[in-house]
Amino acid sequence: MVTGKGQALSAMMAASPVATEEADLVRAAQRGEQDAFTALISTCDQGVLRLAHNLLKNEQDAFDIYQETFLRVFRSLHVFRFDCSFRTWVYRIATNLCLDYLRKRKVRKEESSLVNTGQGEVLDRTAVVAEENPNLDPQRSLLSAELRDAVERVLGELTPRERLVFEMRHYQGLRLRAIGEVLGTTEEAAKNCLFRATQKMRLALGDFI
Amino acid sequence: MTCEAARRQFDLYLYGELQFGEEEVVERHVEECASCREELSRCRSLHHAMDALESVPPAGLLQASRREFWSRVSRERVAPVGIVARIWSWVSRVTASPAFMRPVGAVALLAVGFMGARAWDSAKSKSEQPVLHVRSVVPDASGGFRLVLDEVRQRTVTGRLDDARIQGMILSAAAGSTDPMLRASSMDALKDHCERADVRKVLLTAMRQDPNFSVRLKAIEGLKPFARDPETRRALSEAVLSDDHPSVRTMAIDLLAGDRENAVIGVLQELMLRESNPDIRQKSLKALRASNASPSTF
Repeated sequence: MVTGKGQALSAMMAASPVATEEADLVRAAQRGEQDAFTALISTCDQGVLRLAHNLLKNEQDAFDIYQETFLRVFRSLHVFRFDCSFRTWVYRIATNLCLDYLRKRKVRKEESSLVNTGQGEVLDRTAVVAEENPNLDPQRSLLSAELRDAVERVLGELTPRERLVFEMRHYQGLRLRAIGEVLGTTEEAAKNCLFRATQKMRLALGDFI
Repeated sequence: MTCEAARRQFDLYLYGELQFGEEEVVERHVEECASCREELSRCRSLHHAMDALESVPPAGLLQASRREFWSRVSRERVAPVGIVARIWSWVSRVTASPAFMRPVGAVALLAVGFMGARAWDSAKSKSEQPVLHVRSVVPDASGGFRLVLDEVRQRTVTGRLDDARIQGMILSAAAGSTDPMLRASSMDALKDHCERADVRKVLLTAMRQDPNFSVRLKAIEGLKPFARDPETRRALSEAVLSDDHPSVRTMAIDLLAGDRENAVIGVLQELMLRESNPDIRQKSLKALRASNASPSTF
């Protein structure tokens, strides 16, 4: 549960003195001030990288999403019109890129990723295993490998949109309203999407808990 | 409220996404219904299990991503902007303009095409002139553009570091050159002038963002006398936890070692959780012991 994180992040995304400061930075960056642009990027780049890494479970893909997101930001900043917050705009770019990656990966997976090893074993070539440091979190090492596999499996079965909403709500701690804004939809639609995702997971993982 | 209706709300309840009234109804139902209480507890366990499965980006990925990004940005900035790119920039601007401006934009583009065709031959004949490098193109309020140009013209200047003009040029080379050798030698020249805030700022930025680890090492070396300065300590802590080069992490630990600040101890304890290099782990452990701190946070 990440309600604490959620409140903090949502507060950052809401209109506030922070938002005013952000708008000032955007204007300065649009005038070509390098320091302002650097400050803007550093407000959200860690979140974007974490989102991409957790969603795609692949270091190289997360790195690529980071580059593509912020290069688009750099090239299009002069047309940013303050229709939403800068952070929301950046997340919108990043999530669209992540969705494309997930969709392509799903298509590839449906097409030809399952290979027979010839020894009665079927391997999924596109399945990626998250790099794990056993020292990182003792709780993680206690979690049974079986449950972890089951979670990976059910996450892979979610639609890209469900996966993204779940990721943003559970791990990034974004409020549903903010998620709706990022995805260009309503809070209600984001809520339904999250509901479908958690239902699928509860059904699939019910026996483990 | 029925059990089914309550259970549909459990995830939103745990995420704190229910309205105050809805939350009250769920809580009242759970208090009275043992099986829903049990179901809520299972949901909570599932959420905790999911928390533990978050995959954290490996140390160094953020720094590596930042460095690559800034290096790409600097390449884009110094690349000569050709006529096609300039026209494309105009096209982007016009298509992103409000609808009522678009006819004006279309006429402007026609004019650009006409003038461009005429200018083509004369541009060819002037090709022997020095090429201008466009550093930035920023739209201004009047609908035009403000361009910053680099003119390449070589000349030699000499002077001491107390000459503001010389120091300004070295600062600019340290911060903006695309040549890592030049950035490193500029860092060397600046390292004895850290008492100046603008020099420290350049060194701190290099420590955090420079794509070349030798330049980052030079920057850290330059900041040695200011290792206790809060901003330097923050940058060193970031380097310890996320720089992808072991020499940089080692040098940053050396500078932080002996600092008994809780924040620094926390950084070293965090490093013990994520660092895989045995030498660096050993160094961090030694620094923690020197501060009478435990290697973990319990």
